[in-house]
Parts: sequence; structure tokens; C-alpha cells
Amino acid sequence: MMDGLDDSPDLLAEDPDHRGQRSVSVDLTDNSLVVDISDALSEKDKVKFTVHTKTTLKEFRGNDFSVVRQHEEFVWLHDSYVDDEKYAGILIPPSPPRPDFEASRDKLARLSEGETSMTKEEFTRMKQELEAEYLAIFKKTVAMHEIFLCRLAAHPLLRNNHNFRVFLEYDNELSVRGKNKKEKITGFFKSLTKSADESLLLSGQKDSDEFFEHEKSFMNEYHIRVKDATAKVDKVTKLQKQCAGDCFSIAHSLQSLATVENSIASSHKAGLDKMLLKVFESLEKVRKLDARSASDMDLKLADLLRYYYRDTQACKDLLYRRSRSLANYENANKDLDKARARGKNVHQAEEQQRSTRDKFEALSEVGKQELTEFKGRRVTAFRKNLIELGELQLKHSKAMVQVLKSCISTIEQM
Amino acid sequence: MDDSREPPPLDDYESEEEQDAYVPPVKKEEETEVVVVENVDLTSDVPETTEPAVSVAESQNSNDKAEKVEDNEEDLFQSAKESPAALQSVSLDNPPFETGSKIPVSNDPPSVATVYPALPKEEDDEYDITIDVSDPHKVGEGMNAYMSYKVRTKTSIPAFKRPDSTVDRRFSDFLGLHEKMVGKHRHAGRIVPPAPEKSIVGMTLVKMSKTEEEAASIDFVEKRRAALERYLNRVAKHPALVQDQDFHDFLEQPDLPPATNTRALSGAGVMRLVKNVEGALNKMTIRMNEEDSWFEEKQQQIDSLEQQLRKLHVAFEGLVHHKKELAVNTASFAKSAATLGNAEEHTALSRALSQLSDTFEKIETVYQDESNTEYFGIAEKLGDYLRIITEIKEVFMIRVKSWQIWQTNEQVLQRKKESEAKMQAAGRSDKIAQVQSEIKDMEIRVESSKKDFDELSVAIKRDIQRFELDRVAEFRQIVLLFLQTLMKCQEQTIKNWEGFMPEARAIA
Repeated sequence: MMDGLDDSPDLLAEDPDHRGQRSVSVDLTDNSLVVDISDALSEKDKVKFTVHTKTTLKEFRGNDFSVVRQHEEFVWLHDSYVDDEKYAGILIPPSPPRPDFEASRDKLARLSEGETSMTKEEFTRMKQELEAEYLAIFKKTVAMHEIFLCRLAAHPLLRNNHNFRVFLEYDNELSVRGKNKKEKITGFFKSLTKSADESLLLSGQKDSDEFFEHEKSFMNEYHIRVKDATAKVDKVTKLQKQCAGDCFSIAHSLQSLATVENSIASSHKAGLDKMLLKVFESLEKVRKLDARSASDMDLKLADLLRYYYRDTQACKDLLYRRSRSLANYENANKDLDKARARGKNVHQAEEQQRSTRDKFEALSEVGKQELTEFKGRRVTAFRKNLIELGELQLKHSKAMVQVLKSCISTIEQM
Repeated sequence: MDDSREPPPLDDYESEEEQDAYVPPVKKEEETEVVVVENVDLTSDVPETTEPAVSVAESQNSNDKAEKVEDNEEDLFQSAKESPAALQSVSLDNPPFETGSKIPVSNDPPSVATVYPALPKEEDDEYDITIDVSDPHKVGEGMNAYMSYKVRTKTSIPAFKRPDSTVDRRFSDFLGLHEKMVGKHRHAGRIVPPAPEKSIVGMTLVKMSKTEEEAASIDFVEKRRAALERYLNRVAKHPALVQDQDFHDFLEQPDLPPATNTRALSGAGVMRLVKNVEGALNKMTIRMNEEDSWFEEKQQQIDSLEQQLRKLHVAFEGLVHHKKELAVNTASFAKSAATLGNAEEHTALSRALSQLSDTFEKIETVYQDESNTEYFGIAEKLGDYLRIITEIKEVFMIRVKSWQIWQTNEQVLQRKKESEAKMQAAGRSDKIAQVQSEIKDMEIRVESSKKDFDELSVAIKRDIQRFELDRVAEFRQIVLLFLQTLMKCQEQTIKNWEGFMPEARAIA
């Protein structure tokens, strides 16, 4: 349990950080609508989030209220934004990832099965690790859901959505169900046509707007790169944790070796047993720090990259919607030309052409602003996290050096 | 007779001819020890059942000077070694025969003393010797290729011909040396440092490598080089083994006769295997009544030590393995971060990312060094200790066998005495004289086997105490090395991250 407790302050401190990071780019002084997740409860197969809202806006009934929401309701909210054409030009915050405790639950189950076959120390260690891991995943999940709501609340347009208000205010369950089979299949086809569309439109389409042309190629490239980097850094942190685990085994083998040395007269006389015990203590500290350093890298670097992997996906979606709209506009132009040539339905075609043009232009304008903001936000977030990453790595390494130095000098004096 | 002449195969008629000349050596050895009479008689038995050439060789040696005794003895060893299964399957319920195969042990002290006059100075520490194994180079092509190493010895021990000498040796030479050492010293209760293990995989890699540089760069080669160096220095540290003529020859003689019997699949290899199985059976079947509490305690300690060391060894190997993988993955993240930096359009952020990539690249080298040099050293040294412990158990086993011989002799003596008593009761005076002389012989034999056992016990005690002291010192070093490696690694990590910070802060 020690490990879990050790980690908690850091993880707790994480949440306001993230919040700050999101709101920085929007408006710090605007406190008219502030949303946070004040509590979360993990039940058997679902997590219940308590969404707490503070507001001065008149549209809401009160100015301080809380509701209980589940992950599916967050997804519903996200989808309702995506499906609404009104927000086509806006970068919709990526929906939070599904809470996934399966892996650690499985491990826990296996652990209790194998309880008899393990030594006591191994068992406690595994249990500690799992509890810490579970807690970390839980906190991360909560943070991700919170960020999603905070970004919505901070956005001048998205915050005014009716569904969002319902989500925040409505006391009972929203009775959104998970997608049924049919919806899943249509969803699948939609994404299929989208990707086919994307490759055709994005490659074949001539865009007069240099900004968007550039954004398109940039986002595509960046998205792939950031995905790759995420996978790689995940492996690094995982192996670092394994190394810390090996250090644990080494430390404990040294401890049991000390017992043996204690029984051997010549070793005992030479103080080998005492020395090994000292090393055991120091090594325990070192491996805990090492594990902390790994989980901080996970938090500051891997999660940053992971978030921007999903956020660039949202950017790509925005660009896709714009291309789609541009294609509509071009088609309307062609239709108008045809109608003029035939002299039929000219007025109707003119109407169509005007409306698609307006839509496209509005979308482009909002989109441009959104993407520019995204860039600013990205740079700020990277700056903040990279500095913190460096500082934490330095802090842990320095602590380790200190522990090791004192251990070495103690041994040398023995 | 000259040294160059190889004793073993001689023509049949010659051996028959010289059968008469067989008596002198017996007499000669009789002077040194009384028991030998019995023993020599038996030795001639041993070879006859196993390797006839030896008796011939012995007769050949009859006219030799004292030097030649060494060769002779070696042959006895050889025969005992090469046909252990035959020997022991017969010997189990055949006590006199056992005594025969024990000759080396009983004969060891005097003969060693004559061959190596420096031995009395056993506990002498004022001389020092250091041995470097370096420059692994590939010799030959294809399947006949092998690695050769330069062995350089610097010493102040006067028994060496030169204070500084360098020879070329291949792995099988080391194994040959080890075989000889085991053959000569294990029976005397000495803990002979185990030679590095064979590695078919490693050698295949070497054989498949195209160039010499490529061969030398294989991980395995460096690992083996270090292992060989540790091996030789361990032998050199042993006060008795460092005086061994074969060891001197190994270090000094430019050309060594090629080592046989060291190939994994040779006949001797199979015999070794048989011997191992047989040894394991013996371990299970012989129940010794331990009267010496020191040995009882030590055996327990060695067992639990082995258990803990094995655990530690596994943990270290895990760490080495994971650190290696970590290094590889750190490098691949560094690359990925660099391409992300290239894709990034914000100039300062792009710079910071490429700096991040640099940082990780440097950290990768830190991990590499960490896992390669030091951890390998630590894990390998622990491996050495595990093998030394196996050797110690082997020596314990020798003591058990020696005890068994003594006990069996006692029993035989007892039986003879009983039959003498019966004869006296029956009044059969005609055979009494013979039985009495047998009893006399037997008493001598019991006395000698008890002496063997006691001497062996003393020798083992001495060697184990030496082992314990060496181990304490070396473990201290290992632990310190481990801590220092960890610290160095973290210190470099600090340096690397400090180099990163300005770039991260410069993002605007």
C-alpha cells in the first residue's frame, strides 16, 4: 500500500496542472463557467464521475451543482458535437479514452490465484505494485474526462451547446445507451467511407488556401510521428519499470544472502552480512525512486504525446470536414454551370451554390482560427511538460545519487 | 631416459621382456612409504583391466630418474580418469581395488614435494603474479576456426623461468590445463577453480564471422576473454596450484602439446558424462556418518549459499537483459523524437525535441555501458562462484569416498580378525600364520586410509577457509562495483538532463 500512497499526492497534483494548461490558451479571467470532476467511484465494470459545475451564467438554474455521469455519457456528448454541423469548423476536444482496468484486474485475479506459490515478500510486492498501477490508471482516467469537460467549458462556442448544459445539469441518468450492433456497423461504414474519402479528397483536391494546404500535410505527418513516439516511449517506461523490479529482486536476494552470511563465521566477522543489509536498504530506496522516475516519464512525456495523438486526430477530422465542405461547394458550382447551360433550375442551383459557399467560408474561417489556437496550445503544453519532465528526472536522479553515495561511504568505512 | 620420449605405447615383446625389470621401482618406492608395496602391486592390476599400456610404461620408467616419476604418475591419473566407470563399478564392493585407485592421493604429497621443491612455502604471500588475457584473434577458416588469446604473465615467483612472458593459447588449452589440474589436485582436497564453460552457440558465431574484427567484436568473445582471465588468476591465487608444473608450462612454454579429451563429443567426453551420472548415483547411495561438526555445518552453509547465490544470479541476469532492451528502446525513442522534432513547425519546440532526442541518445549509451561492462562482470562473477560451489561439493564427495574406503577397510579387518578367532578356536594352526599376516597388512591399510581421510579433511578445511576469505573480499568488491555503477549511471543521467533544460525553457 505504501507505493500507492506514495504516488497519490503527485497524481492528485497533476489534475489542476492539466486544467491550467488547457485554460491558459483560452481565457484565464473567465470564471463564468468552471467544471471539474470532484469525485470518482469505481464500480464493478463502470466508473461513476461526479461532475461539479460552478457558474455565473444565467442559462443555468443554479450556480453550484453536481451530477453523476458515466463514461458513455461523455462519449455521447462528444458525438453530439461531432454530428452537429454547426461545429464543423471547430476543433472538438477528443473524447476521453474508455476506462480500462481490465489488465490490472486480471493481474489481481491471477495474483490471488498464485498466492500460495509465491513467497510472502513477492506477494506483497506484487500487490503493492498492482495497487499503485490501478490507482495511477484510475487517476489518469479521471483527469482525461475532466480535461474534456474543461475544454468544452472554456470554448466560447462549444460551451453554449444545449446538450452540454443538459449534461452538466440534468440530475438523473441521461439514459444514453452504448451503441447497438446496427449503429456500430453504420459507424464502421462511416469511418470506412471517411477514410476512402479522405485519401481521395485530400490527395485529389486542389486547395487555393495555402494555410489549409499546409495544415493538411503537417497534420498527417505529425499525427503519424506522434503516434510512433508514443509507442516508443511507452516501451521505454515499461522496461524502466521492469529494471526497477529486477532491482527489487536483487535487493531481496541480498537480504536473504545476508542471513546466510550471518551464519558463516568468517563472513560475519568481516561484516559482510551487515554490509549486505545496508545495501539492501539503499537498493530498496533506489528502486522506488527509479520506479517513480519511470512513472513520471509516463505522466509527463508519454501522456502528453498520447493526448496530442488524439488531438491531432481531432484536427484531422476538422480538416476532413472542411475538405468535404469544399467538395460540396465545388459540386454546387458544377451543378450551377450545368443548370445555366441547360437553362433549367438556375435559381435553385444559385441558392445551393451560395449556401455551400457560405458554409465553406464560415467553416474555413473558424477552422483557421481553431488550428492557430491549437498550435499555440500545443507549444505551451509541450513547453510545460518538457520542463517538468526534465526537472522531475533531475530530482529523482539526484535523490538516487545521494542514497548511493551515502551507502558507498558507509560501506567503505565498514 | 629423455623427456621427449612418450611412455605409453610400446611393443608387446618389449613389455614381456622387461617384466623382470619390474621389481626395482617397487623397491624404490618402498623406501618412501611402506604402504606403497601393497599399492604398487595393485597398480599393476588397475592398468591390466583398463589400459595395458600403463604397466608397460611403468616398467619403462623403472630405470628413470625422479623426474620421470611425474609422467608415470600422470599416466596413472590418466588411466584412473579415463576408465572411471569401469574402475568404480568393479570397485564398489571390492575394497583392495579401491585402495589401488587411491594411490595418487596417498602418493601425492611426497611426489609433489620432489617435483616442486617450492611447495613447502605454501602460505607464502610475498610473491605476486598477475595474468592478463588479451587480444582474442581468430585463427583458421570455416569449421576449423578457433579463437586464440594472448596470455601474459608478470610474476616475481622464482619458480617461473621469466618474470614476464607471453604465450598464445586457445580455449581447449585452457580446458586441457583444467583437466590436468582437476586430475592432480581434486583428490588432494583442493578446490580447483572451474574453467569457463563451453559455448557451442558462441563458437558457431565466431566460426561464421567473416573477418577477424567481426569475430573479436562478438559479445561472447569478450565475455570469454574475461572469464579466462578470471580463471587463470584464480588458479594463480591458490598457493598449491600456482606451483604446479603444468600451470607453469601453460603460462610459459611457447608450444603446448594440443589438448585432447576436451571436445564435447569425444570418447573422453562421453566418459566424463558417465562419470557424472555415476557420481550423482554415489551421492545418493553413500550415507556418511558425519562425525566432524565443522563439515556438517559447512555443507549446510554451502548449500544455502548456493541457493541464495542462484537467486541473485538470476536477478542480475534479468537486470542485464532488461537494461539491454531498455537501451535498444531508448535509442528507438530517440530516433522517433528526432523525426517528431523535424515534423514540428514551431522552431523552438522543434529544437527542444531534437535536444530531447539527443538526451535520450546519450542516456542510451549510459544504459549500454551499464549493462555491458559492469553488470556482465557482476553476473559472470556470481556465475563463477556458483561453479566454484559445485567444485566444493565435488571435493566434499571425494572426502565421503575416502571415508568410505577407510570404513570398508575397517570392516574387512574386522572380518579377518573374526576368522582368525574362529580358526584359533578350531585349532587350525596351519592357516593362522597367513591370516595373521593378512591382518597385519590390513591394519596398515586401515591406518593409511584413515590417514588419507584425515589429511584430506585438513586440506579441504584449509581450502574452504581460503575460499571464504577470498569470497568476502570479492563480494565486497562486487557490491561496491554494483553501487558505483548505479551511481555513475545516475550522475550521467543528471548531466544529460541538465543539458536538456535550457532548450526546454527556451520554448516560447
